[in-house]
Amino acid sequence: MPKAVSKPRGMRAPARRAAPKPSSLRTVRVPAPIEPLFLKAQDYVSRYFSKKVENPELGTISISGERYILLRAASMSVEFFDLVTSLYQDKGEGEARNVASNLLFDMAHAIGKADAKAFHGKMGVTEPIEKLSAGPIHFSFSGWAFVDISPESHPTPDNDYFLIYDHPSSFESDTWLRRGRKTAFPVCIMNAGYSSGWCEESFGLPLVAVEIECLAAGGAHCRFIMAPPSRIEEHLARYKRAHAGTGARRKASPVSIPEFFQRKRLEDELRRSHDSLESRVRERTAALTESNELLRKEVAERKRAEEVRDEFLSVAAHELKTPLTSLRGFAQLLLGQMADNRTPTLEHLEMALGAIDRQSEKLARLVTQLLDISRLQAGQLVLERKLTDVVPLLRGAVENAGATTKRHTITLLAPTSAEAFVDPLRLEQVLTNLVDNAIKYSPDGGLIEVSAGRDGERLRIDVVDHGIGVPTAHRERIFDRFYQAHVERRFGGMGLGLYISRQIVELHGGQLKADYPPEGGTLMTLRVPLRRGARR
Amino acid sequence: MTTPRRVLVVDDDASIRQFLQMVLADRGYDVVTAEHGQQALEAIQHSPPDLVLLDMRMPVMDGWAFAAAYRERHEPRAPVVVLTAARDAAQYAGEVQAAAFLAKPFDLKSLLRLIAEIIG
Repeated sequence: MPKAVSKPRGMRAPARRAAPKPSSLRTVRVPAPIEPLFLKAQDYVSRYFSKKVENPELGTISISGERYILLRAASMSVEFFDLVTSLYQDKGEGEARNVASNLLFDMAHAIGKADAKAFHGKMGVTEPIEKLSAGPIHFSFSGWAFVDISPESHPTPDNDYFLIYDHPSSFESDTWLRRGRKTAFPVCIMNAGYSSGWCEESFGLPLVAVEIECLAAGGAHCRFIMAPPSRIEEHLARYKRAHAGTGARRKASPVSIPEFFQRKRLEDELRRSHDSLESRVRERTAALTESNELLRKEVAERKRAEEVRDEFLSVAAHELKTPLTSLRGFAQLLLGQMADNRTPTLEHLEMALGAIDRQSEKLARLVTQLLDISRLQAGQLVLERKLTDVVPLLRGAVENAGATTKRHTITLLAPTSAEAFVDPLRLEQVLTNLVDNAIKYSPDGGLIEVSAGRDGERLRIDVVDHGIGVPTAHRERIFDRFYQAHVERRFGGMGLGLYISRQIVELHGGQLKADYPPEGGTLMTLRVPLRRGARR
Repeated sequence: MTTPRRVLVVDDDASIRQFLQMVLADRGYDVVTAEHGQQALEAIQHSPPDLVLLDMRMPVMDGWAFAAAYRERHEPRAPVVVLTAARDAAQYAGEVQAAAFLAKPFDLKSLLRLIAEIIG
């Protein structure tokens, strides 16, 4: 067995030191800076173990009032291994060894944690390194092994935690060697389990210890590396690299990371990935639900839009065909009479031509509305605004509308002139629409009052009728495209007039709104700016 | 000289009523007009028609309501010809058990031929 292994840079194996002086640290070897802490612990643990009472008549052993049990070392190491190996013979030697190792490691790890916890309470210590201090000493007093911690260690309570230490006179390698049994694997499993359990409890972080050299497996010492499970492989690889080609490799036993930790780590990883999978699934599900809902809404909206468009096309076709029926009819009537060599009477001629004139005008108006709607939808309805005297426009609209009805009286109350910054043709279109609506929706006739006046920076125009008004349920929608409040009464039209009017007024930077006086009828109020750039 | 056949024209469009009145009178028919179903039912009371030319979409009382009331209250009944600008002219005609239908804008000759076929 070579006396020394070559020391890699930055990583020295624990120093072999002279026998401890009686007054100094006798039960553990640690790097100088932390010796005072361990002296304190040695003092405490020595006193603790001095109060040992064996009472075989009662079947008890107690140390400072705490019950202990004695176990024969070989039964927990070489003999335990042999027994488990024979029990698991059918599963093969490797599997049998795994079972034995895992049992021993898990048990010792749990004992180490529990002992640490009990001692921390008794000693009233809080600092991780202080908590660690009683461990190796307790270890020595209870006969597991002596502990020799290398100055290369770096025991910090974080992921950089690293401990390299030897167990001279490990109870495990010792029992194997006493039986004359050399192994191909490290045997100090409980020692590794116990020490990592104690340190895990002391530092509050998961730790794993791996025996990298074992006397029973032909090593120069029983040497361990302890680190967080996520870092252990990296430390082992570093140690292995540092000792490559020095002879240590030849006798270094095959190390194995206790499965306990691999299992724990795998479980953690599994749980983490399961959790993250679950949360991803939840996120995706939520996102899917949301996009489904959006899609559902969009489909419903499109369907509704399609229905509205279909209904509109049907209404528009009906509206266009009605004047066409008269146009075509009157034309065919006259042509037919001429074909029969009959001269139409003047009365017929006047009636027919008058109808043709009116119906073609109606047709032209409908077509204009259709063009307006398509321009508005494309954002291409352009105004030609200029300072305009609105009063003549109003008078024209009132006179034209008045000529179409005998049942209505239309009055106009306005100053002699009132200028506003508007597109005169478009404003005239709006005024005509409002007055026509007032006539249309007061089918029993009556008074229609049109008035105009200044309202701050705007010109205000009111059109009041005393007709059928608009049922409350329809009021919100009368300015909607294609909407007809009185569809069941078949007033005709395409449901475009008020929509177009409001759009035109809003393009002017104005407002068009409807009110419903309690005595009935409808009050339409229009406001347009007096000047260019005037505030709305 | 035989008694002229009487045609009842029911249509809410004044221009169409005027035109049908003119053309049918010109052909020797006795023409009665109504703006909607309600007026038509009143007109039938004192001048029962030999043929009804019926528009479907009208205010006050539409073509369907008129046809139902006419079937319920009158026996014998004159045949009904549906004249409509709606897309579903054939369907409407079926719904009111019309003898025939013409889609607006119709051809004048077709209308006269159809009337002649039904009431001579």
